[in-house]
Amino acid sequence: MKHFFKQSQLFYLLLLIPFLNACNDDDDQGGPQIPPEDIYSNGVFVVNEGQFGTETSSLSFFDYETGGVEENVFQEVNNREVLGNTLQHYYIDGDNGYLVISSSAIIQKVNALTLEDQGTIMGDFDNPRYMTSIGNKGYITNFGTFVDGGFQGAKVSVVDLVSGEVLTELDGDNAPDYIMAHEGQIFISNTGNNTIGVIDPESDAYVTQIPVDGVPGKIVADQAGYLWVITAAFGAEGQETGLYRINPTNFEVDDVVAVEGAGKHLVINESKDIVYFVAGSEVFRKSTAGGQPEAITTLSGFSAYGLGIGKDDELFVGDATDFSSNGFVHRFSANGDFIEQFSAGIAPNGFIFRP
Amino acid sequence: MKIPYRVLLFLLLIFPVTIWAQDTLKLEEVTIYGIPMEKYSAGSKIMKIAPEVLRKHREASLATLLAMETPVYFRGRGNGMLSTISFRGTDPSHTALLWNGININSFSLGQADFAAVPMAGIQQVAVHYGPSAALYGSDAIGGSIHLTNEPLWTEGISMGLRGSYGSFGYQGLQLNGSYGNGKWEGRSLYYRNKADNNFPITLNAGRPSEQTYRRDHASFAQQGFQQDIYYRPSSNRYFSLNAWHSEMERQIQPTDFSRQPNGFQEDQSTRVVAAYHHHGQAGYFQTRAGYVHDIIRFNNSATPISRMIGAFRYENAINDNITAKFGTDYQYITADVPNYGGAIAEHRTDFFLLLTWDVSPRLHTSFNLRQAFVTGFQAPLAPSIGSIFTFYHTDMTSLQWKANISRSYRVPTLNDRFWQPGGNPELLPEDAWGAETGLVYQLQKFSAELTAFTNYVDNWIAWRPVAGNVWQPMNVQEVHSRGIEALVSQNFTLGEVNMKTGLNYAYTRSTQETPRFSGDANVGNQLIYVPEHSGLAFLHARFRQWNGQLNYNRVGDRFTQFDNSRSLPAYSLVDIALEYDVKWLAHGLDIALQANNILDQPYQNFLHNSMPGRNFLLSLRYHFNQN
Repeated sequence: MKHFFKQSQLFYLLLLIPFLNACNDDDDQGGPQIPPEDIYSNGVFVVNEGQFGTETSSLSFFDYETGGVEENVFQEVNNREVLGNTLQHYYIDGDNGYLVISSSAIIQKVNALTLEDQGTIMGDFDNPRYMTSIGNKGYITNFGTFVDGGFQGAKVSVVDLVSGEVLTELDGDNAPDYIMAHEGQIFISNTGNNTIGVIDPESDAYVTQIPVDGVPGKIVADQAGYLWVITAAFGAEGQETGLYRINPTNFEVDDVVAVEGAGKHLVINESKDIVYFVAGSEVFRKSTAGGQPEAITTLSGFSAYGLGIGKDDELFVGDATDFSSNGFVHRFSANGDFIEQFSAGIAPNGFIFRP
Repeated sequence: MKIPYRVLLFLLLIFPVTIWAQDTLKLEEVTIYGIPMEKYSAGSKIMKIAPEVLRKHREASLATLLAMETPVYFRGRGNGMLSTISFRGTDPSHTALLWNGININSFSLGQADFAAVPMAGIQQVAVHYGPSAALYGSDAIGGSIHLTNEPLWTEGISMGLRGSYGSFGYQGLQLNGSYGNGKWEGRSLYYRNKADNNFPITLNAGRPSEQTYRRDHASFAQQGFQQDIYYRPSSNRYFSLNAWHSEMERQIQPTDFSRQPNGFQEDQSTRVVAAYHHHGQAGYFQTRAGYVHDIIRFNNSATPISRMIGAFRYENAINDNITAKFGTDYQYITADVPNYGGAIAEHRTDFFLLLTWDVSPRLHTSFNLRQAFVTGFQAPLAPSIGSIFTFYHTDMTSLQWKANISRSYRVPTLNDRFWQPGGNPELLPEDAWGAETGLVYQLQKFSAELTAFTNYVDNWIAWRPVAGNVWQPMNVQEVHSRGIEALVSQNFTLGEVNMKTGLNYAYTRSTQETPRFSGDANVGNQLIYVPEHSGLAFLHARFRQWNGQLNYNRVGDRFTQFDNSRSLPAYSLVDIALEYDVKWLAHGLDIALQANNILDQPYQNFLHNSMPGRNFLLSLRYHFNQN
């Protein structure tokens, strides 16, 4: 049996043939370029992962103007059947939007104003999770593939966002997950060794890894330029998990706020002085200037699968129900007062506000 | 090595009986039942797959055979890929798959991959509809499938060589031989096949962006060896040994829009059963010892599970009208799975008592009872009662009424109980009560069977997210499945052509009866991947050396989401098979051609996992002293 399947094994190892990256040729028709109308503004995108093993990922758009919700906006705009399998993240940089689709292992580029298909980036990704960028360089975390009882092939891909070429790949053995750019540096939640990795985009090399207790989740930057990281206690009982404040110049943890039952969701308000997060079944807020977290609402009958912030610091909480039905979004005021609940796609895991 | 005392107990149980049983002198032919316990299944619906149909599917998997020839639904993740059964509206873990009397469902997953069971060497396939845990133990809630090999006591040497070539790079080879002298019989089979499986898929059908490409990263290869040995020292007793080693390697077919590899899986199974059958004055005895070793290796992460099996049955007629059978099944299960947090060992012992009572010449009844004992676990007592009432029965025509009520259960899988994190040792067994009734009518060459069934499954296990990213199995659901099944067939002759035509239809409604979590809005909805309508029509014809089969399959809409907001569309498949046999003395040559899905219907049995369009299979078989 050892040699029985050699050909197919080779086949399996072959590099991926670009297929879906047929760029949208519509722009090449000549004639004056009219700036596209900003259709998808003043609203909140809902990132719906979709059902496991299927291509049911979608974006929903909650429109502040109409108060209504549009489902499957990418498919509608582009007349496509599907978006992909497991949409993990929607990253917007100016007029460009990047949909990181984990199981499809692609980044779908769109016009952030119209959601028009701008082609796909197929950077030899392996379970891509989150993305950020500095200039024309995109940084994408890859979780890797479950092989031999562990994840292999984890990495951080550095991509030229103009050409779609992979510039370099950084070793990511520490299960890199959330990634963000801040003050000219790249910060990564390494969920494998519970550190915040720092990459210098000049050299595209790791500068340092900042150890934290618990599994690091989302990272936000406050008004004063400090980074806040939430760390979850999954499998880290007895450790000091919660909110970590990191000084981005000397890469040191300079404050820790212990939070019992913290998850991985963390957002910051528009003026960047209040962070919101979920711990247990409660949503908390905390001033970045100091003080203790304050519970503002209790989520009853569901657990938070995603947390986002919208206009007037409104909070959006994703409810994935059974992961095989359309999920719900619960909308709260900045003070935690329930406003409404609306239907979304399957497993809403995140929210992106476009003013 | 210390031999566990239960193993000793089991050995003690088998051997004295074996020796003692040899003393009896009365020579009575050993009766074997294609389904071991068929006569205790009064009131149940059992369908045996016809030999010509089995022959047609020698290159196919059990999943393909049953999907094409019965209304049972398979959730196939692509061609040759993981294919799990949904029988009478239940989940894949609710059907017991038995090979020579041994349940071969995976003990880690609780279900069988019917695509990994090739039909190359299976002599008989029977489909037992509905619950029958009293007869077969855990898992037989929606139904059970029985694969059986048995001695034919033919004399002389025979051999067969079959080569096949098909669409999408399919190549198959089967080599079998047998020897028998009336006392000894040996049957051997080696098979292998592979396929690139690069069938075309159309994306964005009917849209400006429509495009067709050939599936990649979906190849598979399979090989296996079967050996059956039988020895009959006298006509009333025999020994049997059935051994089967199978291997399958697959690139997991990615979802339709994905061009990325989706992992690599290797399945290996070794199954051995040795048995002694004795029919003497003191009754009918059977003792069996078995060994099953399964490894599923996904991306090199292995799940090895071993089982040792011992079984004993004793059957005797109490009087002219009552026959009783007592039996015990014992299994010693070991699993060394990294995610179980250490090696697991578990004992399962079942005791059962089966009775048939011919109350009158018109009324045949059966009463069955089974109790299973599982290490650290309480399984429910599973009774069943059934009857067949004959209104009239002549050479030409008959009408029978059947009814059956039974309780069935499923012991949670090893993954359910031991998987770290999430495994829940506090789980209760799933517990089901089912009833069915039906009419069977026969008029000369016409036959019809109409069945209605209902089945309540409580403590249905589903994995639910708990704290953090951890999912945990819980007894969260109650499901009610019910439906109507109709089976009609007619034999007729047109000149020199012998024909058989028929219909097989199932209506299945399977609904969630209780909320699985607070705020669950899906109560009353049809379960996912359960078609309400499924059925087939067939026409078989034989003319001199020609054999033809025409099949029409129809599968209705299937919801893919629990909120029933999305479904896969219904589809129809048409398949044609044609075979020509030439014989010269003991030598024979068959040429067979199959054209499947000739309408080139795009279809999916699991969302975004396309199945192949029109495809062909050509096979050539040389045989010596075989049919």
